[in-house]
Amino acid sequence: MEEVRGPSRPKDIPGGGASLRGWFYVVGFLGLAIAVASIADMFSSRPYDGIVPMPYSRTGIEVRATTPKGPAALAGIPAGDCVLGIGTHLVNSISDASTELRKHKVGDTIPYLVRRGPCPQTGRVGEPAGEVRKVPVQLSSERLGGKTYLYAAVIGFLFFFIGLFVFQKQPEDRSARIFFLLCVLFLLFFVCRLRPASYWWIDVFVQNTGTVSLFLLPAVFLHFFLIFPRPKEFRFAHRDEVTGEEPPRWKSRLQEFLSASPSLLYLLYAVPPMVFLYDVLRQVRGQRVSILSGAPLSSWALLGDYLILGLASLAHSAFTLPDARERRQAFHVFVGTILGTVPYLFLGIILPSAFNTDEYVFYGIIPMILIPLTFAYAIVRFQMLNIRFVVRRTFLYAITTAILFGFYAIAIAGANALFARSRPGSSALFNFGFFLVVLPLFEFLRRRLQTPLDKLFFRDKFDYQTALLEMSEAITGELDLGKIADYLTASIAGTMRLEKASIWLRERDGWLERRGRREDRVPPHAVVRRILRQEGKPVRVEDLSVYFADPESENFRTRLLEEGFRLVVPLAYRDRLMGILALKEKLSGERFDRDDEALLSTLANQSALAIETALLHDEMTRQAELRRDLEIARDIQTSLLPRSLPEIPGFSFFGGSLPAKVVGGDFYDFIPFDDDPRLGIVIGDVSGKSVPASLLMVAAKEIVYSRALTTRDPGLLFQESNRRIYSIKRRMFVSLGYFLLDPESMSLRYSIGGQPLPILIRAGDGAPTFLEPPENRLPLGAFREVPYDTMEMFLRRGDLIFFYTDGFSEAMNPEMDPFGEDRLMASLAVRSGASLEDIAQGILSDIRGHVSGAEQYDDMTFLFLRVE
Amino acid sequence: MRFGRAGKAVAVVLLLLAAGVAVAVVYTKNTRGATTSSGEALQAFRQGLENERRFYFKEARLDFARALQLDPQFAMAMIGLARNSDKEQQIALTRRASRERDRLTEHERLHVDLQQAMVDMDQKRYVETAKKIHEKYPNDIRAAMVLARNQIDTGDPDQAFRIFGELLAVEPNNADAYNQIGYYYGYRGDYDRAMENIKKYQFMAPDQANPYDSLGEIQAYSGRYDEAIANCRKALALKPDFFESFNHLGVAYEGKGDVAAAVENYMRASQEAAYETGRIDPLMRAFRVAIVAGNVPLAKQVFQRMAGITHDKSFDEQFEIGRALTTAVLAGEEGRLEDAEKGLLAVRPKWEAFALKQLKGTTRKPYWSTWNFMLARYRMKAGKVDEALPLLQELANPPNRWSDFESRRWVYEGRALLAEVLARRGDLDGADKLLAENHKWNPSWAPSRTSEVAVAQMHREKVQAASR
Repeated sequence: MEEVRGPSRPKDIPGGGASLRGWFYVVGFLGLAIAVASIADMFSSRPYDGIVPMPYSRTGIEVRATTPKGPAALAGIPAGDCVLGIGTHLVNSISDASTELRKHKVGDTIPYLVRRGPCPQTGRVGEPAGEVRKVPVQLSSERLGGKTYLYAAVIGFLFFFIGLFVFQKQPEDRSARIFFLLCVLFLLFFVCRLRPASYWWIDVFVQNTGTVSLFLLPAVFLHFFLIFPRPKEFRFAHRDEVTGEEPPRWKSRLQEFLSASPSLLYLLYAVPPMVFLYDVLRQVRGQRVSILSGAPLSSWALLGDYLILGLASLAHSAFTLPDARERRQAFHVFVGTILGTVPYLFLGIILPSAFNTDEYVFYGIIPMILIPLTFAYAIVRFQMLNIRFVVRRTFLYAITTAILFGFYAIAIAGANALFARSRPGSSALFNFGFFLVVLPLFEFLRRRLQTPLDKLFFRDKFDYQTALLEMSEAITGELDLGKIADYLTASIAGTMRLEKASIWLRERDGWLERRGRREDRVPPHAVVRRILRQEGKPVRVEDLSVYFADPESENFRTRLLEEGFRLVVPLAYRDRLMGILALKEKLSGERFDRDDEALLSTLANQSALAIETALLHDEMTRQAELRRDLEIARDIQTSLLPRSLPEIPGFSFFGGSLPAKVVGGDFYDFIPFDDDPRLGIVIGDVSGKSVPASLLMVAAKEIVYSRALTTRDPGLLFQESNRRIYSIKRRMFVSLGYFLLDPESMSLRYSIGGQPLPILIRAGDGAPTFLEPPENRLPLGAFREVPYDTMEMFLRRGDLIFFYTDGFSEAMNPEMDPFGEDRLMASLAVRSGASLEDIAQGILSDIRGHVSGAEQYDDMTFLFLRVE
Repeated sequence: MRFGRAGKAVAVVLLLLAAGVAVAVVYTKNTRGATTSSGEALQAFRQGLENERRFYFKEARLDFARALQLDPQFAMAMIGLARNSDKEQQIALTRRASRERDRLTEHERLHVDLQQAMVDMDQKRYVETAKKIHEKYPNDIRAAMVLARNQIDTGDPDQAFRIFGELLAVEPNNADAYNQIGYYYGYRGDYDRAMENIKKYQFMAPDQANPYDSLGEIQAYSGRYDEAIANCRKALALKPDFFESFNHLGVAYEGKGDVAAAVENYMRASQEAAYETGRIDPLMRAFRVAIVAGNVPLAKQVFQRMAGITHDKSFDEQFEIGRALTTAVLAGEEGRLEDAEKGLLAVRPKWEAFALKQLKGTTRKPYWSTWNFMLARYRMKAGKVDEALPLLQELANPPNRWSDFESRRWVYEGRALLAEVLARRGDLDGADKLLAENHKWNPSWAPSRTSEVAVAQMHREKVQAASR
C-alpha cells in the first residue's frame, strides 16, 4: 500500500467542521469538571473504609485494593476478599455500601462481614459457601491512594492542559481537535479510572465515567493516529496500466473506506459503545463480567487492539510520509507511545492481574508521562506549540498556587484559632468562605508574579520580549519608510531568530509593495488586504485559505507558503492597512506562541503608526518639494513671458497668461530681429503641467528662437523645430503658432501646429473669422517628420487678431459644457471696438460667467494684435 | 408533532390531575401495614412483630396483648397473639379476627385466612393461602416460611430455597430469610452454607439472641458441641430467659454425652416456654435423653414434671397419647418389656387416628419415629431382633423425608442402631455405610455412640478372627 499526500479532507465528520469547535470546548469542560469533582471529592471528609471496590459488584463488594495503612488494610481485609455486609446490613452493590457508610461518622468502628475470596457468582441461594468472618473496621476520612494516584492525576491534568493549549492554538485543525479529545479522555482515565474510589455516588459516577473513557480512549487514540500528522490515505486500487481497466469496485471502496473515511471513523467509535453495552447487558442478565485491574476485560482488549492498530498506522506514517519533518514527528510519537504504554501494560495490568498486587503499578504509570510529553514535543517542535510556553505557564501557576496555598493555610489556621469557639467557625461554610476570598487573589498574584518570574527564571524570554518592545519604541521615531521596513525585517528576524522576515508597505498610491532584497513586487490581493485588515492580528499563512475563494489570493498564499512564510502580521492603523509583515519559521523550529503573537501585535500597532507617520511625512515633504518646483516653474514661465510688449508704430499688442495649476504649459512671446523690422510672434501650449512642462516650454521656445533667427519661413521653421522637439521627449509635444508680422508690408505670415486658429475681426464689418487654416496643423514633437505650411495674409488698418490657447474655448462649466469658439467669437465681436485690455477683461468675464465657479480646466494664454 | 396552546393546557391539566391522583393514592393507602385506630396499638403491635421475629415469644405475646387492649378491634394483633397462644385461645382470637375482615386490607385478610386455615388444621388451604400472600407480597416472610416449610416437608428443599431467593430479591436484608436458609442447609448437612447464612443473619441482628442460638443449634447438631454451647451462652447473655437456647444447650450436651446437663437445660427450656403447651416438647426431649442414657430415676423425674403441665381440651388427645407412650417406655426401662411392647402397640392406633387428622391435606404419611425407636429398643432387649429390624429400617429410612434437626436425629439414631444390628449379623459393610452416612451429618453423637462402639468391636473381632 502506498501512502499519498493530499489536501485535508473536509468530509471527515468526527472532529471536523468549524461548527463543532464549541462542542469540543463543552466536552473538555465536562471532562475537566468531572476530574476536578473527583479530586475535590477525594479531599472531602467522609467516612471511608480504605477499600477500592471492584466495579460492577452485585453480590457484595469485591475488594480490588485497599489504601495503604487504610482502615481496611489495618483491619486485615486483603484485596480479593468480598465484603458482604457493613454495619448491620448486607451490601450487594457499591450503592448499598455507600448507603451504609453514610449512616456512620469518621472514627466509628463498625463491623464488616467479609467473605474470603471473591464474591459469589450470582448471589442466589445455593451458591458454594465461603468462609465468612466479622471484622471491625474503624472508618477514617483518608481516601487518597498515595503517590500513585497523585502522580496519575498530575499526568492526567498535564495531558488535559497540553491538549487544551494545542486546541486553542489550532481550534480548526482536525489533529488538534482529536488530540484535545484524546487528552480529555486521558484525563478522565487517569483521574477517574485509576482513582482509589470509595462507594459514594460520585465515586460511582466518576468510576463509570472513567470506564466509559477507557472504552472511548482506544477509538480516539486510533482516530488520532489515523489523521496525525496528516489524514492517512491508502492507494492500492490502481487502474491496470496495460489494459486501462478500472480497479474492482470493492477494491476502490475498501481503499476509500480505509483512508480515514467517515465510515471507518464511525465504525471505530461504534465498536466501544457496543462492547460496553454488551457488558452492561451481561450484568443485567446476571452474568459475570470479567474484570482486569478494575476495568472490564473487554475494555483492555479493545485498548490493546486499537493501540496496536494505531501504532501500526503511526509506524507506517513514520516510514512512508514524504515530508521528513512529518516523518520525524510521527516517529517521536510512536516511540513515546511505545515507551509510555508498554510498562503500564505490564506493571499496571498484567502483573496486578497475575499476582494480585498493585505494588508496581506506580512504576508502570511513571513512563506514561512520556506519552503527553512526546505528543506535545512532536506537535510543538514541528507544528503547533511552544513547549517553553507550557513550561513557563506551568511554572508560573505552580508558584502562584504555592504562594496562595501558603497564604490560605496561614489564614485558615489563624482564622480557625480566632473563631474556633464561635458559631461561624464551626460551620462547614467557613472554609468555603475562605476559599471564595482567596480565589480572586489568584489572578491578581499571577499578574504580579509574571514579570519577576520571567526575569528570574526565563531571562532569555524576558530579554526577547524586552527587545521586541524596545523595537516597537525605536521605530516610532523613524520617519523613513525604507528604514522602517529594513529595521522591522532585520530586527524581528534577528530578535525572534527567524529564517527571514519580509514586509509589504503602503505606498503613496495605496498599493502595498514588497520591500527587501527581492524585487518581485507581488502585491497582496485586495481580498488578502481586506481579510488582514479585518483580522487585525497575526494570522498563520495556512489559515488564510479558510477566507479565500478567489484564485489570486490563494495564489498569493501559496507563494508565501512556498517561500517558507508561516505568519503574516497586519500593520493596521485606524482600519487602514499600512503594511503586512510576513515571517518565516523560527530557526529553532518552534512555533509562534501566544506571547509571540501578542508582542507582534503590539509591534504591528506601533509599526503601523510609524508607517502612517512616515507616509504623512513623506507626503508633506513631497508637497513641499512640489511647491518648490512650482515656484521654480512659475519663475521659468514668468521668465518666458515677455516682460514688455513690443512697440511698433501702427500696431498695438496686449497679452497675458492665466495658468490653471499655478504653473501652466502655455506661453507667448515676441521675437524681434536685429536687422529686420519684422516681428516674430509665438504662442504655444506644452502638453503636461508644472516644471516638466515649463522646461519643455523653455526648450521649445529656445528651438523656435534659434530657428527663427535663421529662417523667416514659418513652415520651414516648424519643420525643423518639430524634429528637435520630437527628439527631446517622445510623449510630450508642443502646440505652437508662429506668426511673422511685417509692419512694412502689413502682412502676416504664419504656420500653426496644434494651436487654435486665431480669430480675426476685420475693420469695418466687425464679423469675427478664423485665420485661414494651414493644411497641416499637427503639434510639434508628435511625429518626427511633419510638413508645415506657411500661410500669409495682409492686414488693414483697424484689424484685430486674437491669438489664444485652447484654455479659452475649452473652459468647462460644471455640466462639462465648453465655452466654445462660437461664444468666444461672440464675446470678442461685441467688444471689438473697446480697448485691448477691456476686450481681454470682457472675454475673461464671459468665460468666468460660463464656468460658474468651476475650477479652471486649462491654462488660458492670449495675445491681441490691433492694427491702428 | 406540534401542539397548540390549548393542547398544552390540556396536557398540563391532565398531568396535574394525574399527580393529584397519585398523591391521593399514596395518602389514602394504608401505609401502616395494619388496620387500627390507635397509634399506640400499632406501635405495640409492631413491637410484638419485632419480638416475634427475634423469637422472643413471651415479649411478643405481651406486646400483642397490649395492642389488643388498646384497640380491641385490632385484627392483626389478634392474629399475632393467636400465633403465640394455646390452641383454644388461638381459635377464639382467630374467630374474633375473622369478624373484622371487612375492615381489613387484602393483605390482612389473607393473614386472617392463613391463621384460620392453621387453626382448622387445613393444610391445603393453609399452603394455598400462603401461596396467595407470597405471590402478592413476595417480601412477606411469614408466607414464605409457610411455603418453604411445606416444600421441606414434601421433600423438595430446592423449592424452599427458591422461595427464599424470591423473597431476598425483593428484600435483600431480610434477616429471617437468612436464618431459615441457614437452617435448611443445616438440615441437609451443608454446614458451610448454613454457617455463611446464619453469620449473615447474625451480622444483621447482632443485638439479638436468636442468631447466636441458631448458630449454636446448627453447631450442636453438626457435632461442634463446645462452639454450640458458647454460642448458646452468648444468646443467653443477650436474653437470659431465651427458651430456644436452653433447648439447644440441651442438644449440645446430649450430643456431648452430658445427660444431666442436657436434661437440666431441656427442663429449663420447658420452664421458659412462652405458653403452657410449649413446655411439653422440651420435657419430652429430656425424658428421651434420660431413657436412652438408662437413667430411669431422672426419666421419672421428668415424667412427673410432664404430668404437672396443664393443657386445654384441644390437647387432650395428644396428652393421652403422650402419657400412654411414656408409661410404656418407663415400663420397658423397668424391665417389663412385654408391658412396654403391649403399651406401645396399644397406643399406636390412637396415634394413627390423631396423625391422620394432622396430616390431612398433605402428602406425608403417618410415621412415629419415637414409637419405632422405643418399640425396637425393647424388642431388641427382649432378643426379638428380627422383629425390631423392620422398625429400625423404617427409622433409618423414614417414609417421610426428614424436615428438621429433630427428625434427622431420629434417622441418625435409627441408622446407628440398624448398623449395630447389621454388624452383629456380619454385615459390617452395610453397618459402615450407615455410620458413614451419619458422620456426614455429625461425627459424634453421644446417644448413638454405644452402637458405633459395638460396630467397631465387630470390626475388631472380625480382624482378630481373620488374624487367627
